[in-house]
Amino acid sequence: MAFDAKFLKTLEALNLLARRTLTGDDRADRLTPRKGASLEFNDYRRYAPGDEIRYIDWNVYARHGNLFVKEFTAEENIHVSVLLDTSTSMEFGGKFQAAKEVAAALGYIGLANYDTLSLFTFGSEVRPVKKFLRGKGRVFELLSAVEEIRTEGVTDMRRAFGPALPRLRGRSLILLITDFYDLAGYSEGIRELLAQRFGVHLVHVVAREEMAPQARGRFSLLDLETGQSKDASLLPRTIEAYMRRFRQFCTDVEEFGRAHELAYARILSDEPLERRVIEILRAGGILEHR
Amino acid sequence: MTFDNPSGLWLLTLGVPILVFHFYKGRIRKMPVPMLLFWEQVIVEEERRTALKRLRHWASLVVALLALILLTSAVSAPNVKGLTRPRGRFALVFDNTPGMAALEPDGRTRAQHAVDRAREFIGTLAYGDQVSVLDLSGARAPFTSDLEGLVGRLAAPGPGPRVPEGDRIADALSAGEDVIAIFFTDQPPQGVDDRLASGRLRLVRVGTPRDNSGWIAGSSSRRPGEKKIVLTLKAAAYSKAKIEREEVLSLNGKPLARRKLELEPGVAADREWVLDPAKVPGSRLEEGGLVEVSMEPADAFPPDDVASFVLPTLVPPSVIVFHPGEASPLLMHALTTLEAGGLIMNLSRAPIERYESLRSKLGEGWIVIFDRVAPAKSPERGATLTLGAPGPGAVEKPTVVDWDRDAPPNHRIDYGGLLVRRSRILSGDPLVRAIEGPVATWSARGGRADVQFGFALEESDIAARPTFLVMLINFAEWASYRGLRAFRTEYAMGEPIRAERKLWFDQGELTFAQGDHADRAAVRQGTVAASPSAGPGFIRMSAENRTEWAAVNLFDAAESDLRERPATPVGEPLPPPAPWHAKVPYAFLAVAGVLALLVFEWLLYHRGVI
Repeated sequence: MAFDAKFLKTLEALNLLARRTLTGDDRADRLTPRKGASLEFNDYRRYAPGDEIRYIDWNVYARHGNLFVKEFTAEENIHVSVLLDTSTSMEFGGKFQAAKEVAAALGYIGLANYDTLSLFTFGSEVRPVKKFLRGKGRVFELLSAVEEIRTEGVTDMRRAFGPALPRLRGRSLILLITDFYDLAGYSEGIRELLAQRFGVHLVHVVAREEMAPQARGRFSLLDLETGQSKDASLLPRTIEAYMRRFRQFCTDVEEFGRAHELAYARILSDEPLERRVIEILRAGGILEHR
Repeated sequence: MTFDNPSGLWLLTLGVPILVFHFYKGRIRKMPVPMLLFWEQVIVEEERRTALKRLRHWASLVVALLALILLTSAVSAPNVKGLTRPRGRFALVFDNTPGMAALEPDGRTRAQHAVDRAREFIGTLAYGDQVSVLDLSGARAPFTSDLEGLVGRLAAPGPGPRVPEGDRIADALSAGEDVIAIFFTDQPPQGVDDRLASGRLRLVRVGTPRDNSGWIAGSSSRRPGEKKIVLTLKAAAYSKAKIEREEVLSLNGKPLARRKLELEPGVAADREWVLDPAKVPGSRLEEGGLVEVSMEPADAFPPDDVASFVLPTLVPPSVIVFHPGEASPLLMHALTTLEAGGLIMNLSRAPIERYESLRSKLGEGWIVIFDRVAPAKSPERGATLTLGAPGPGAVEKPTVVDWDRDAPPNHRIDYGGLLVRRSRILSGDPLVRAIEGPVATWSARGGRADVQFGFALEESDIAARPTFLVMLINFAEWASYRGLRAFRTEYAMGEPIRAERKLWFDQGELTFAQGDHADRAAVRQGTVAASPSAGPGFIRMSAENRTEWAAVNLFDAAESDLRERPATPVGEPLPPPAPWHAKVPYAFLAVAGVLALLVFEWLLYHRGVI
C-alpha cells in the first residue's frame, strides 16, 4: 500500500474532527477543556499565592485594585483509534481493501496532526495492531501494519466492544470502519463504546454489488462469515426486495448515527481512494480542512 | 376419440425431453454474499406471499405439458364424442320452380328470400362444415368448406322445370350418409315424408300465400293460305274474389290493342286475339315478329302475366323450278294450284344451267325445286325439294311400306298404295320407306330445309293422288319458315332451350340473350353444348349474322296458384347455430391457448407475479 505525494499533501491539509472535546497526553495543536498555556484566552480568576506573576492582568488591577490572573486553554493532542472490521464479510466486493486504504489514510491524517494513533482490528474481539503512533514519521510503520491485516471470523460488536478496549486511556476518538454486518446487532456494540465515553465516527463500507446485485437465475447463496448456504432463484422481484432491504439497512445505520450524534460516512468500495476520502469529508463531522 | 391427423400425435414424444429438462436441475452456481440474513429475509418474505410459489415448480411443468398437448391437438385435430362438434355436410337444395319468382310484399322474389335464408343458415355453421348447393333442375355446386366464398357466390337460381322434389333430394343425399339436405321452397314438397321423418331433410319455407291471376295456356295458329293469325289464350284467377285486369296486345314491343279482363275465381276464361294485317295497317304484321299479350297492372307473380309468341312471316315463299330442259307438267300444275291458293308466289322455272348464276340470289324466302336434275352445290339458305335426281342406286318398282308420320312434310299424308316404277334408294332420314330402302328423305338444319324424292313424278302415281299436293302444301308451310329454324318458336318457362335440329353453322359460339342477361355456349358440329333455361318473354339465339327468336311462357296452372297448399309433415328444425368457438379453427384456438400459457409462464417467472 502506497500513497503518492500529491495525495499525501491532500491528506495533510485535513484534520480529524472530534464532536466532543477530548483530552490527550501531549501538547499539540488541539484545544482541550483543560487550562493550559496556549494563546487562547479562557477566563480570569483571583490571584492566589503561587500563581505566575506574569499572568496577572495589570490593566484590571489598575481599574479595580484587585489582582486577577488570566487563564488560557490548554492545547493537546487526542488519541485516535482506528477500529477496522476484519470479519470475512468485508472480503465481498473489495470492501476490505477499500477499508484498509481508508484506515491508512485517516491514520495518516491523525499522525500529520500530531494525534496519537492506535490501530485495532475487530471481529468478535478487538485486537491491537499498532498502538500510540505519533508523528508523520510513523506512517510507513502504519502502512505496513495495515497491509498485513487479514480477514477472519464473524462480526460481533457487542462481544468485541463490551469489555473495556485494551490499554486505551482517556477519551479517544474512535474511527469505526466496518460494513456493519453483525448478526447480533451493531447498535449494542457501538453503545458500549459510547458508554466508555469514546468519540465515535462511523465509516460504512459498501460494495456496489451488494447494493445492486446483477446476478439473475438460480444460485446457491453462500454466507461469507458463517459459511451457511441457501438455494434461491434470483428473480427481478427478489432482487428488488433485497435492494429495498439493503437500503433500509443503510438508512438504519445512518439513523442510528444521527440519533447518537455520531458522524457517519458511507463509501463505495470500488471508488478511488481520493474519492472515498472526499466522500468522508463531504459527509461532515469526521474530517475538516485545517 | 378419433383424430383427423393421427400422425400429429408423434408430437407428444416431445414430452420426454420436457420432463427430462424439468427434473434435471444441473449444477447450481454458488454466489458468495456478505451476509445471508437479508437474502433469507426477502426470500422467505417472497415465499410467504403466496402458497402458489411453492407450486411453481410443478406449475411450470403443467404449463409446458399443457402447451404440448394443445399443440399436439392442434396438429392432430381430435374428435371427441360429446366435446367436439362433428363436421356437418349440408346440401342446400333450392326450389327453382317458376313459383319462386313470385314477389313478396317487400318487392323481392321468393328465390331471393330463399338465398337470404340460405346465407343466414351458412352463417350459423361451424368451421369445417361443408356445403353444396343444387337446385331442382339439377345444377349443382360441389361441397365446399369455403363458406364465406360460398355466401358471396350464392345467387338465386334461374327458373327450371318442376321435377319431383324427392328425386332431386335423394340425389343431394346420395353424397353420403352424413349429408343433411336443406330444402328452400315456397310450397310443401310431396313424397318426402320419410326423409323429413328421418331428419335428413329439413325444410325452410319462404314466401306467403298470395292471390294471383295469369295466363295458363296459349297458342297461335294460322290456316294455310290465310294471312291472319289467331292467338288463343286461357286465363285463370286464384283468389277468393273476382279479379279485374286489362290485357294488352303488342307487336315487337309496340302496343296494338287493349281490353278489359274479368276473371272469376276458379273459372278459366278463354280469350282470343285475331291478328289480321288488313285490320292493323302499318303494323308490318306480314313480316312476322314478336307478339305479346300481357296482363296489367302487375300482380304478385309477373311470370304468368305475359303470353309471348313468335309469329312467322305471312309472306308466301317464292318458288323456282330448275329442270333438265323442260319442267314436269305435273309438277308445274301442282305448283300453279298452290300459287293460285296464295300458298306460294313468284313461281318461276329455269334450266339447270342457270342455277350457278342464280344460286347466290336465292335466300331464306325461296323454295328451290330440282326436277330430275341434281345441283353441284345445294343452295346455302332456303328450302330445297329434289324430285328424281339422277344417280346410282336405282331400283325397279320399290314397294312402299312405311313413312315418317311425324315428319312435318308428311302431315296428314297417307302414302299407302303408292306405286313407283323406278326410284333411287336414298340415304338420310327416311320420309318414305320402301322395302329396298328410303325412296324419300328429309332433313332440316338451321337455315336450310331439304326434301328429296328418289323418283320423278312421272315415274309414280303420286301426282295423281292428293298426296303430292298435300305434301307440297306441307312443304311450303313448313320449309319456308319452321323448317329453317334450329330452335322451336315456343318454350315453357324453365324448360331447357335446346335446338331441335342442327344449327346453321358447325363450329363457334352461340349467344343466348334475354333482357340484360346473356349466356354463351360452344357449338361443335352444328350442335350447341349448353341448354339454358329462361324466364318469361323472348330469348334470342344468335351467331354468324343470324338470329332466331323463341318465346318463353309459363302456361302452368299449378305454378300460378300461389295459395296455401295442404301441408306435409314439417320435419325437424334446422340444426342449431354453432357456438362461437366452433366457428374458429380449432388449431387457432389451440395456438392461442399455447400463447396464453407462454404469457402465463412469463408472468409466473420473469415478472414474478406469484
